[in-house]
Amino acid sequence: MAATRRDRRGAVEPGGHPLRPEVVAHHQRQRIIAGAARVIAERGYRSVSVADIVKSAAIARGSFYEHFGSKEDCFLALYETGTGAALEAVKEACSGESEGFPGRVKGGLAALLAYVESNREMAQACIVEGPAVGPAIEGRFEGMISSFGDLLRSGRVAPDASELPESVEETVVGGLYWLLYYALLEGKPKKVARLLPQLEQFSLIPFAGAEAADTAPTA
Amino acid sequence: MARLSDRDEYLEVIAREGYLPRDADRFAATWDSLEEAFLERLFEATVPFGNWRQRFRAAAMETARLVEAHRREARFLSVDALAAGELGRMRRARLGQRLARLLDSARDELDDSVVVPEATAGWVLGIFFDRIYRRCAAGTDPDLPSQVPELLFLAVSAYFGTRAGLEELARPLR
Repeated sequence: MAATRRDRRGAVEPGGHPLRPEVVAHHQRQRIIAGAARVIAERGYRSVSVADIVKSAAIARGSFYEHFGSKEDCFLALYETGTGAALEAVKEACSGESEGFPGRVKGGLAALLAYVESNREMAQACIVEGPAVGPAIEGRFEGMISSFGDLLRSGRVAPDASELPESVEETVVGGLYWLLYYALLEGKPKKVARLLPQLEQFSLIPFAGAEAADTAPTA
Repeated sequence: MARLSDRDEYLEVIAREGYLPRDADRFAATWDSLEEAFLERLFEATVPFGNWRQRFRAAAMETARLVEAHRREARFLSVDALAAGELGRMRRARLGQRLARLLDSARDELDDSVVVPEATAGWVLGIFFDRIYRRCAAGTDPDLPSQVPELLFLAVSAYFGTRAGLEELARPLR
């Protein structure tokens, strides 16, 4: 049997070297967030208590309060983790300069749906439960829509797009958001995947017309 | 001082305390009466018009005016109801389906060769709902009537193409 040493804080790694406290704390925080996403996606934000999150994350109640002051505080961290990771995935997918605007939009949307598919509980918790949280989420919701909207702004170079209202990118993203919201709410995973070509059309038509939406390479 | 109706009283309660399962019956009654009143106003606003684009413009402007004039009711339908679990979800889905049928009547005016994505009505409802939600939740968005041309542009573009959509941006608000 492999020897394992335990220091006084109880944090060990194989071979007996103690993990740094900040590493342990980070992992524990992530574990709580994952546990919260799981139980909130299943039962809804309003029906879940701190005790439910503690049970889902399999941690001690005291550990929860070492990281978060309340259920809402935990949800806000979850929301920032989930929306931040989705935004990074989309940014990375649409950073290819050579593909042109329609190709980048298609790549970004494919990355977004892939993130939703492979992080179902986190996506459900952020997209479906986020708006039910109340005033604390409103600024973050605005920020999230605005960040995704910024990625669409390069579409303004299209000939028909130069005179569009300033907020049209945010409005397009808002429409995509609520389409995804209802697809997730219905709990039909295949429905989310089937949305991709339609999301491409809705995102491209205002900037580049239906022809670009039909002819751009699919990611 | 005039006594608040049960509906008005409940609108204040849910705005202050959020949805509570013990109020399920009051929630359902309030939603149902507001949904019927809203659809009736949309019908009255659109009945004088012959084609889809005219009816849609009238419906969009009427919705925007209603949101501004009846903020508490609009907040109930767009923000407070999101926390009402299955009860709220069923009612939002029902209203969404009724509005989607009205929106999708645009397909009757398209050439047979034009293929419009299946989810177009959901997308149009999404852009309108997003603006209403943000106007009612934080109250910081610009007033809704001023956003109607942009919403019309996106909706008409989705059904009739970008050129038709751009015409909506150039049209004066009424």
